[in-house]
Amino acid sequence: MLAVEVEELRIRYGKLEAVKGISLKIPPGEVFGFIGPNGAGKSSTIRVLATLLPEFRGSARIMNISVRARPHEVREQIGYVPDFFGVYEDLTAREYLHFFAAAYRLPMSKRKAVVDDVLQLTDLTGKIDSQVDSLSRGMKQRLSLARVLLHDPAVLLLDEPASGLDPRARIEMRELLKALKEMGKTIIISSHILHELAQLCTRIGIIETGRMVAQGSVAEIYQRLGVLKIVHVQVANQSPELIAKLRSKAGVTHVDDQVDRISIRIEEGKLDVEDLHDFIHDQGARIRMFQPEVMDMETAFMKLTEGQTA
Amino acid sequence: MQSSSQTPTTLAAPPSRMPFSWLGTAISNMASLPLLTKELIEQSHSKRMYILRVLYAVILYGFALWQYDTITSGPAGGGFVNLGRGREFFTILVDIQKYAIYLLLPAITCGAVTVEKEKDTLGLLLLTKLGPMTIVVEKLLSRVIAMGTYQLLSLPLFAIVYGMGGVELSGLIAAIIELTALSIAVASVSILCSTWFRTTSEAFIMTYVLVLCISGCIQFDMEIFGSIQMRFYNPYATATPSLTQALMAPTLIAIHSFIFSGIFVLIASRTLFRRAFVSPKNILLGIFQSVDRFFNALNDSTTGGIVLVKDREGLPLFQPISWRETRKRSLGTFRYQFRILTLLLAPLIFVIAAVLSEGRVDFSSPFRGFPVFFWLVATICVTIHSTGVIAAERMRQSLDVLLVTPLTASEIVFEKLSGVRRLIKILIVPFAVLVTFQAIWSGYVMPGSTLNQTNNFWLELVSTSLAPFVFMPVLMWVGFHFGLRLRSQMQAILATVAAVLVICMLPLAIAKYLDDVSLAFSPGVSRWNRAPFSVCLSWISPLRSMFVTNNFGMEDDFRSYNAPNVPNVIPVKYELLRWVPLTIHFGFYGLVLACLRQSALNSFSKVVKRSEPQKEVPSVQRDDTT
Ligand SMILES: Nc1ncnc2c1ncn2[C@@H]1O[C@H](COP(=O)(O)OP(=O)(O)O)[C@@H](O)[C@H]1O
Ligand SMILES: [Mg+2]
Repeated sequence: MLAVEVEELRIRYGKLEAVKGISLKIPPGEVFGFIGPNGAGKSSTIRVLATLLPEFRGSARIMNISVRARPHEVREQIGYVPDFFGVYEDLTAREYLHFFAAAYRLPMSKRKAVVDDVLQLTDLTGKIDSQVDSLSRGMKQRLSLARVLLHDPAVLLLDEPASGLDPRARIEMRELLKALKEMGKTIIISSHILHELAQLCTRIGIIETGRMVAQGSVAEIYQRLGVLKIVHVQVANQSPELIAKLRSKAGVTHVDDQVDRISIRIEEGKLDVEDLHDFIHDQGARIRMFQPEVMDMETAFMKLTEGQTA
Repeated sequence: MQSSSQTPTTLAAPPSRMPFSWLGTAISNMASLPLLTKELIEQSHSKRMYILRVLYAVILYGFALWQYDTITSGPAGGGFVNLGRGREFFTILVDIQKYAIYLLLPAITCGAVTVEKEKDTLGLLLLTKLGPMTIVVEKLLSRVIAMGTYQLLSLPLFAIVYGMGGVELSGLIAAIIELTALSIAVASVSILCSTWFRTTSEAFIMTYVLVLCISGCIQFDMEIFGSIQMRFYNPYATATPSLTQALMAPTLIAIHSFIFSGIFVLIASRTLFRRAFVSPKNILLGIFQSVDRFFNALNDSTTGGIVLVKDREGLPLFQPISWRETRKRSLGTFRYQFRILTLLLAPLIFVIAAVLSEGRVDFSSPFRGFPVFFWLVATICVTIHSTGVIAAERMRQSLDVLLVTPLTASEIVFEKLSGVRRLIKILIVPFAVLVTFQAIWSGYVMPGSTLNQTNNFWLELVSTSLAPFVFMPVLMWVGFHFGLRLRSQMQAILATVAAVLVICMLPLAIAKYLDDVSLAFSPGVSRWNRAPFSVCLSWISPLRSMFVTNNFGMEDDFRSYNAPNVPNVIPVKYELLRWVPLTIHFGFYGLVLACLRQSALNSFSKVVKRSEPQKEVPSVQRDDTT
């Protein structure tokens, strides 16, 4: 059984087609990173799964329950943290959690223990009697997580939980998510920053203007991103002929003659790094520095998503 | 339409030729008018402007036609007799234009700056090289010009009037000067409100309040001014004044009003920066809090701080939303509602006590004003509360997390309204006290002996006691519907009040019209015999049972027009028939209540975009046409 299964999801807002046929298959226990620039359609997809967007095409199932046919049952299975924390000017953290405990119809006898548990987990025990609106942004975000843990859902839908947090709160959030992952929850988490999710997620999907441009395990994505490599080279006796020879070598896509180095972009599979080394050596150049580098994530991300924007 | 939208650009240049003494310098300082141009282009792009203009034209021409009809079809009307009667019509036309300025211009202008505040674009505008004075003046001019394009629509009418004769050229010019001055004055007040307030709705309300106050003052001012003006020119003294003489007075008035406008614009340009980034605050909440402080202080000073009604604290057990609505939301707490109750009951009890101690026997009830007072307060309280239950939640962006809980749509709706429902229960108390005492009182004053009198007594008692039970829930659901659908609570409140006015007035107005028409065809017959439909329609208005006098107003319906003093046309054996209108009335509103409630429950999920069970679409691939 899949925890989340989305097939050919399409969402329209008037004339704008925000999501153009996305498919997801997420087995239980996975942490799925949903990555894409602003306006790509991440929130829209998550809202469909959270039963907050009834108008969509395609199918969406959570724990094998159809979102379209049985949204009431789906709501018992999910915990949704929206990308904003609404204003609760009148409640304390305790009242806030008890409010939702009652809304989720937790048995009366268990409520106090459950509330204490989730507060402990989210490290908010000290703030139990503070007004919700007086909490910092990071604490509000953790309180949100505490809220969705009350009814022990199988699937957590977190829409940009780390946006707007300072580095410390970000790290705390990541630790908390790791703990949830250990608890065996299936988590869908969206972000527009790739490296924010890299260490945490087991699977990543990259979305751009409503289309999934890459999807797979973190290792697979890395492999795809690693397709292009850059080698930084310094030689003692650099000459224009060397540059020209490098440019005409098969497997080299781009040679950048910089002040202190030559940056050579090679295509993996066609040319090995070792062969490049030998080739330069064979040209009679005396190598001072030879430094292969996997393209950094952000550049790769730009590379992957470029041309998709239409 | 197209031509009228282009007129502004040609109008934009000449202002310096008009008597804008202070404006002239301001304008000559601007090499070009970038903001004005931008605003005018924007306006010509918006669809709403065209719709409004068509609407305005329809109303204007309709009204003019009607007036023309009444003027020309008078006893002296027809044919050549109309020649020379243009003056009468002309005055009416100018008045229509004035009312249009008072009504429309604030609505167009009050958003000029607040919209930029709401969209967070004012900062960008202030960062440009345009000075605050330039911004304010150009915004103002763009709105005045827009208003001008509305008024140009009446040009053909003026041409007709001019053709009818009786209107001097000087009168025409005077009217143009006057209308221009008025436009600028009203717009300058609106623009001041727009720079001062944070939201468009605040500016909107305050503009109307201010315009009302100021035009009152100006009226007073004009009286004084008028007496001065008489020294320069007395229209009744000379038979045919020269053009310059005739224009003296309006020009002076215009200069007078420009000075006012100038002051407002000056203040507006000063406040533009200062109040550009004021934080939004809930005025309503502020008012309630200050009332709360007042009551607390009063309580402390009178009783030494004894708390009679204490809101129960504690955690939610079964119905969390109800708990929050009635314990946590300020308007829902028992403390506030108890205060509203005191506010209503105190004067009533005072009057009852006075009546009892005096023991005066009087046929006119001493309680006549109370139903109006009660209904007014009840309408305001229920409207504000019921429009806010969803609108406020939406504004605070806290609705989504509620919608993903397993609570069903009807649970959410009913629990959300629990605060309003309790408010209604509390509001029923003063009505009940009033009805009870009135019943006793009228029995005391006019002991019913005939069947007719007894029947009247019961009719009145039943209708006044049923009305609060039916109309307050109706109001609650109407407010809920608007609060659910409209973007802000302010809009919802305005819409609800408008709906209440329409529901109360429209049936009566239509009935009156039908009645008048039928009277022309068959005079001397009772209303019921003339126009039964109009009578039925008039039974529908809530006013009929809210402020019942004379046993549901039935007598008028069946009384013959020829014999207005005969009290009972209905024979005694038909006495019971008189319960029919009452039944129709409450039956109708019972039905309305049920429909409103059902449609609220049915449409809630759809409007807030919450998934409800739908049929599974079998094939997915079918959609892949795009
Ligand atoms: N309620 C809405 N009405 C109209 N357009 C919307 C609405 N919500 C989102 N959109 C549009 O749909 C696209 C996808 O939005 P969203 O799903 O919020 O993207 P993301 O979360 O990836 O930033 C955007 O272009 C956005 O402007
Ligand atoms: Mg988003």
